[in-house]
Amino acid sequence: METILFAFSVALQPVNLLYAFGGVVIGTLVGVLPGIGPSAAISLLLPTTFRGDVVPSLIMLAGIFYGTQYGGSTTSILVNIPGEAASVVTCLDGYKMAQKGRAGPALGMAALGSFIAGTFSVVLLTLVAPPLSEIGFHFGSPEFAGMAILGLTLMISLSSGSLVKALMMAVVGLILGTVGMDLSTGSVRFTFGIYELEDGIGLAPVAMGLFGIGEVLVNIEESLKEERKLLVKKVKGLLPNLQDWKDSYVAIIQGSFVGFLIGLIPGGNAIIASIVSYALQKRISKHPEKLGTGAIEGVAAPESANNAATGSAFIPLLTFGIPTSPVMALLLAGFLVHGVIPGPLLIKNRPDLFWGLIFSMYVGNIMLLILNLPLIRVWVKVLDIPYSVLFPLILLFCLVGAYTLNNSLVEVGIVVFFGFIGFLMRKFAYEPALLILALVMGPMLEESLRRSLDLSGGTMAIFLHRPIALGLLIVSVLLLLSFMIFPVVRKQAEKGGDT
Amino acid sequence: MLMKHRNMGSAIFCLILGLFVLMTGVRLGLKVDLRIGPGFFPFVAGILLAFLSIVLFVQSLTETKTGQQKRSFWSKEHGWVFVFLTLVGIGTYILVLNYLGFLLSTFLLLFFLFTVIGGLKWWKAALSGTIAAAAVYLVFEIWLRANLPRGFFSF
Repeated sequence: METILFAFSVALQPVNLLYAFGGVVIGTLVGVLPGIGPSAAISLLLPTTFRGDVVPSLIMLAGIFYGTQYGGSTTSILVNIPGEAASVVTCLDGYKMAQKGRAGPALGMAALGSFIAGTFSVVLLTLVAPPLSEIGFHFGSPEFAGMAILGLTLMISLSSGSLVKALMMAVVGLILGTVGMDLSTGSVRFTFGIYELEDGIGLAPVAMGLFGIGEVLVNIEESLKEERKLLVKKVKGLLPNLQDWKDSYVAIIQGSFVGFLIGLIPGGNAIIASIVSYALQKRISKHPEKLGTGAIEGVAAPESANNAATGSAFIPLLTFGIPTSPVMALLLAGFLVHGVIPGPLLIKNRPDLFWGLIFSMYVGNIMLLILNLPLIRVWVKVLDIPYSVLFPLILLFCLVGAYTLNNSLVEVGIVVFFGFIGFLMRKFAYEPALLILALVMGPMLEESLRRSLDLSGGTMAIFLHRPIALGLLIVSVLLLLSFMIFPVVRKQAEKGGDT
Repeated sequence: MLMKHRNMGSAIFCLILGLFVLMTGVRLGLKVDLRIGPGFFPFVAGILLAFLSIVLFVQSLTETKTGQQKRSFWSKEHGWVFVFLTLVGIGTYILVLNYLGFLLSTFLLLFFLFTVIGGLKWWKAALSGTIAAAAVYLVFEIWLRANLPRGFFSF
């Protein structure tokens, strides 16, 4: 009880409320606008938090993340273009509902389902995170190395497209993580005489380049002149009726559970959660033939799942310090910039941050409900902004954000370089998300691996004597082998991803 | 260009990168005073990248053309022009930023992007460029005290 009161006292501080509000507004806006996702938005705004206090900064960044899941449904329903990837499935029934003149209840159910699932997920996060932190205390270098390898393996296994290409991107990310001064020996690696690189390549400029500039370059090449056709200019009757609730309650419950569980798995992000939840709804529905023709449960299931997944994705980061998605990697950077290391010690060393962040999500979910229902007409108007006006502003934010990292043009150069690389990666069908995750995990993996090997006198035998570390490595190897030996499973997953 | 050709091209590039990283790892030292050296991790990563690149190259080489559509690298006929001009605009911005200062160079970049790439009318571009440059200046320079470049004109 004391903890809950303390947590709310942090989350309800005016400054934290203001930042949470700012975060969810930006998040909803980003979710509504196609062409910019949560990773790009967080990487653009990351530099603005460097000079502020850590608690409100992270509350804002987290708000952007779960806010996008709310906003993403609006464009799916009204324009048949997902505002962000996790709302792809919502297009199937949401747009059909809008065509039938039921855009209001579709938007309303998306917001209410998101609220219920988001809150459910945060309640479980509150209950699960502290005991998991206790487990983290028993982890040493070999276990952390095992966790990092398992995290990367899961991300690679669950990524769509070629397994070899996914592995290659992970290795490139690990290599980029070695750039700069080696802290153990003082040797300088891969800096090519550029002084600014001695501190390593920062996550923020790489993410801004790959996700921000890279996406903009692809969009201006492919679809700059394409106009979006807004189906409904005025939305009426947002509150779902009793029949809508009857049709949707099972979808919301299963979406909440499925989303929460998938969000826990590294790589199991909100996109996969929404796809799995939609597929499950089709299995358990009494009228599966209705899904895809404008059934409200087809909106409720994926929207609940993608919101539940955002809450549980915080668990591995807050308890073990392991990011499970690019967004979590960016939040990890947000912690590290302020000298705070998330992990088992976070709950003891910075309870204000740990509990303040978690409980701000309760408050944020309520804010989002208030923002999304009455203000939906405002968000609909936002959709009228053409991309030709938006993209120069996104580019500008990337460039200025990069400059302010160190007041250096070298950082700006890095952003532009990785922007072009990100563009090429999309053209050559490589996944930038894996590179980002490996870049964050790289130094962590190298340090724990080197420490482990130093402890054992240079032999890998240390992993044989540590059951948890050995178990994690065995699971990683089995996972990778299973995807190589049974490519059918992977092909099925890819088909699901393409839907 | 078929995807297999793109894969072969990128595999060759990554193979060269992997070999470079591998050799740098050896040069940095795999062991230092009986402890793991700074070159060990890059060495292992370089081997992995080179190996995976060869696998991708061989996979692409043996891939049949069936089911693969020949697609242009660029989605639209003049798509590359937009990308090229955007990169030129940004490159010029980086070059002149320290001389012209943040406000003027940012306005010029935005005006260029709004008109040439975005196709906005010149007065709309000028207005949007001015407002956006001023807003970003207010947020980063005044509110966040970021010390943006001032240039010859001191703004």
